[in-house]
Amino acid sequence: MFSLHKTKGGVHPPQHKDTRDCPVVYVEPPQQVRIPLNMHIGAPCTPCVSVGDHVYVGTLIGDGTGLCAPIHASISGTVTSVATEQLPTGQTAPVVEIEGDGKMEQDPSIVKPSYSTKDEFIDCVRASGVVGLGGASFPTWFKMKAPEGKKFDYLVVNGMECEPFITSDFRQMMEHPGRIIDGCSRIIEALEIPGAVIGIEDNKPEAVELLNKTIAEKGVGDKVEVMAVPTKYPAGGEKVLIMATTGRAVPAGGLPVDAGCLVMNVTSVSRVEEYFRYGEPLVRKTITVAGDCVKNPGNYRVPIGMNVRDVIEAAGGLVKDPKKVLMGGPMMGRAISSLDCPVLKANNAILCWDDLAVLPEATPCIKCGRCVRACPLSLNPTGLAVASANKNLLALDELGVMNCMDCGSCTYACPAHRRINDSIRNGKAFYRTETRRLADEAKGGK
Amino acid sequence: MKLIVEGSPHFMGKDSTPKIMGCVCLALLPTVIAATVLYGLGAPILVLACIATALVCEHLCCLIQRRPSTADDFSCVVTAMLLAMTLPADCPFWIAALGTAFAIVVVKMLFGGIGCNVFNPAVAGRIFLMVAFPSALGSYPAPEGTPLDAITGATPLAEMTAGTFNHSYLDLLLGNHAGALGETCIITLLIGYVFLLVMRIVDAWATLPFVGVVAVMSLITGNDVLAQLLSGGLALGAFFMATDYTTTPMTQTGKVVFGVGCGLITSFVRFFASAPEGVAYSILFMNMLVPLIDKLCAPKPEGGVKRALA
Repeated sequence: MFSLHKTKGGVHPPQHKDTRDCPVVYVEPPQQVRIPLNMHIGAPCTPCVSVGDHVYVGTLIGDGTGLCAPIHASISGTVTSVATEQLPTGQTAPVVEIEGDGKMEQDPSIVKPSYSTKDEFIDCVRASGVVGLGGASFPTWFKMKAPEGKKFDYLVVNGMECEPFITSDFRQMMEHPGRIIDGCSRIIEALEIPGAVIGIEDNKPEAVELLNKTIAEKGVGDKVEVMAVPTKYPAGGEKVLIMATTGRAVPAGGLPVDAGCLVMNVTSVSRVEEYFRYGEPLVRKTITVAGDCVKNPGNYRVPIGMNVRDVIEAAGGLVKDPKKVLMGGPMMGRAISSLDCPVLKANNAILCWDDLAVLPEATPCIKCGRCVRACPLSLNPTGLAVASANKNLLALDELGVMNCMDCGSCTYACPAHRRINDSIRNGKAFYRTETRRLADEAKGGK
Repeated sequence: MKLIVEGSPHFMGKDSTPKIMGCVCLALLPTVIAATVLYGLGAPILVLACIATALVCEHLCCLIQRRPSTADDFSCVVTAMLLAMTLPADCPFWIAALGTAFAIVVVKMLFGGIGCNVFNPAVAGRIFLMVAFPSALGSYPAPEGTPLDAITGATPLAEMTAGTFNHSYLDLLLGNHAGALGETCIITLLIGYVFLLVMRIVDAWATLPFVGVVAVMSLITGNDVLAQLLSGGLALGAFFMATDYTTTPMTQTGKVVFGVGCGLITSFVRFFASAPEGVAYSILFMNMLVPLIDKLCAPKPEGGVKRALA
């Protein structure tokens, strides 16, 4: 049903997938978790617990309306604070703090969900709290709702894990292939999608083989396929993966549904399946803890909201002081300012670096064009960077600044070490405010 | 514990401007050695004189312009080497130094320094010298070991124009004839170019069309194709000047357009104008068109562009 298509651009950063053979280890529940209520794209949740309330694992602590996903307590205990805080990621959000009782009791009201219609299925997915776990954190239930007049032709499952260092998705595929394949079958059946393809980078042949074997065992080969995609960053970018597996391009400003695709990360699929099997919403996350400062690098299953400091402690602690700590991979991850930072739903790695922390200084652009050739979306990064620096609204508009997905390939490819996508990020922010202002002015003028 | 906070990506490639420029210098080295063998010790000394001038000029300009010195990124060394290679080995030092100073100060630094120059500094410097000192650059020394009555000689292209051309292809390939010190030995230029190709520092998107168009045009006009390709500054120009980053287009289609344009102008000058050689003019002219070519050959964004302003 599917065949591999050629994709443009891309770079080949060193992989550092040293934790690929580290099975997932469940960590001891921490004394305390701090759960931010903005762990998804869209409106933050409104807290629905107050200080002094007792919560169980899986108790709803925040929900909202519109583009939003509910958030659940990840340990059992007592709510000690509900307040708006600035997190070390730079974001400001309402945070629910829970002091654990060490029992990890599951909420007694949790039952196995059931559904009979497509809408009921989507409501269940919403209740599971699952968001895009590959890092994008887009509420999964929301993208399952195809707008009027549009339909899904393919479920594209993202098992690429093209970021260096991270191996948590790989571990998920190796340890729970059945859940992933059953999840695919369940989702395409419930949403009436003709077929699913699981894209996996060809540097993980074991995962390709294992999933193929599982598909054969379950006899779903006519609906679900595995595709080995050449290893290249960012082959796991949503638009790039759609291009590789289906040959379709997502139109500018559009969503994957505009190309007839529902894209989900492998771990998201697995979590959705787990929810339907066991009824427990998304309260834990597998995190790859790695870097030269960590004593025991590996994959750790931690309650969401656990402090990064506690996670590192669970990984044997630090052998030396890191100069930089990343939430996520080296290409798109966020550098945090302090270790007192909660693990979020879409986090998949914590990297503590000493040797790799300091990057070379930027030198003048020599117009070599490597960024242009590295851009997987065929943009002109150096042109966008100049337009951003000059605040040239028209040029930003012409060059399609909002197409940029911030993958960082341009900066990686730049021999002058220019922070090209830092500039483009600024350009995007400027473009967003200016176009909004112009639209408001146009409205006011009428 | 103080942590570094900065935007992603937190990984960067291993290449750098000094490394790239250093590789280009390395790629030019075999030809300088060949020039030493062919034209004597004057050749490498001239190259060194140009390099020294370029380093001093670049550093002084940066001091005056109050910005970090870019003399250590080797880009001015590349310019100096390329310029020296277009000169006769017996060119007076002060003329070579003046040309280098013009290339660095006027053509490069006054336009904003590395990455901002419109014209290839080496080519522009060479043309400046050709216009200013036609006699010093009009005669070229013959290789050492030729009979004494032929201490200076006409270049093969000039001989072709005059109808006195009699060289074997092997002579042309090895550079065993009168000419600019770094233009004659095609074999070492090719070695350097292949080295840069293997290092993935340059590509062939401009070079092949450049050489190809000259070949086709020589065929059409009834000239000796191989002799045309092996003579004059074509190899140096197509391998090292049409592959310069700053003064050539960024996209592959753009580079093809650039190469075809260079080939056409070179052929026009060689076959229809009174000057024997046109490589330098063709590159200089196409340099001017690069912003236009870059605009016309811009990459097409995947999925189109959703315009908010139009």
